[in-house]
Amino acid sequence: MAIRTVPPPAEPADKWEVQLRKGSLELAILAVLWSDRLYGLEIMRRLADGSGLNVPEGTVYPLLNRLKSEGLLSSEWVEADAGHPRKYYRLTAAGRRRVVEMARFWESLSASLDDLLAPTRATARKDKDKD
Amino acid sequence: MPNPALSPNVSAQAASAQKMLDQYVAELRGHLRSLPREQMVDIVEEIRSHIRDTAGGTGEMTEASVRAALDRLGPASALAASYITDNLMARAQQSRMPWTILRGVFHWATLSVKGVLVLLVCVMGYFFGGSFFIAAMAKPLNPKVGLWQIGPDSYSLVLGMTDKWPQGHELLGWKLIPIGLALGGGTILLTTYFGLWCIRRFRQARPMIGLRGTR
Repeated sequence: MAIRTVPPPAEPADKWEVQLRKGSLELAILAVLWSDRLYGLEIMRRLADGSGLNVPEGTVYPLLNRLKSEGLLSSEWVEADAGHPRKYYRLTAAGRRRVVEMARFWESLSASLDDLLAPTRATARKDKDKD
Repeated sequence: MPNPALSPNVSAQAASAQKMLDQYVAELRGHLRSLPREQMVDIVEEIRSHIRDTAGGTGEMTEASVRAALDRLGPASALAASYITDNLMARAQQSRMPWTILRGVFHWATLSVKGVLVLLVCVMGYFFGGSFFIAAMAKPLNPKVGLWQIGPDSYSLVLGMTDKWPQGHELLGWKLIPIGLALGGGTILLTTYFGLWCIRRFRQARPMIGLRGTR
């Protein structure tokens, strides 16, 4: 079996990526709870199936716990057919306000960045055509 | 998929799968005992429910399916550390008191070697800073307090706890008060920022969201 070496972390671009992922995970979790109450595994499945976002399980649960302690989520235990209860999360009123704020900021930021990045995309395409 | 119910070993299989699950949950509970009891039970039961879902689905849990589920969750100590540092960060950011930082780092130290190193540095920083701070405050009350040269290359910070006068001569005199306050306060502040910085770094080192097809 081939052993894949992990590239060394803490490259500046990597660091930026980590920060970005961290920030967007919080928004993704809050957004996926917009219209439904869901339990942890369901949240991960929705993120993976709907948006192709893979989230490590060991990261989601502590984050859910933190969002709950910040008052953005509430939780309740529900008996399920599976034979064991599941912990469902839903957005609180504060959580709803937060998603709207975060989404607004995200959209305006990505719109501005899109304009800035347009020239790099055109140049990259030209370079590709040359090859 | 073969039907495990046909195998005579199925109940033994299920029992040992259950035992693996119980062991993991018990270990997690042990690591989380510093949290309020209600919160700890809530977390532990949620993880138990998650493992049952991922390892059992609609059928019975097997040793292999539980092992795979536990692998995806990662070691109980690492999972607990995430909960505890999240909890600690929330508290530390509200009150940046040295004892809050020390308490949090102490729990971290029970979980990893890195935590032990950070704890060592924090304890030393607070001890050093605290000593100078106390010396500066005690100087007006007790003339024995001060930085004394007791040998050619040895110095002693005397806090005036005993009646004996130190041998040698005092170096700073009344200047100990401003120097002690600045050095002590500065070291305590630096240690606090160092502790918070380490905790923040530790949280960021956790794996984050990934796009399908990327690592």
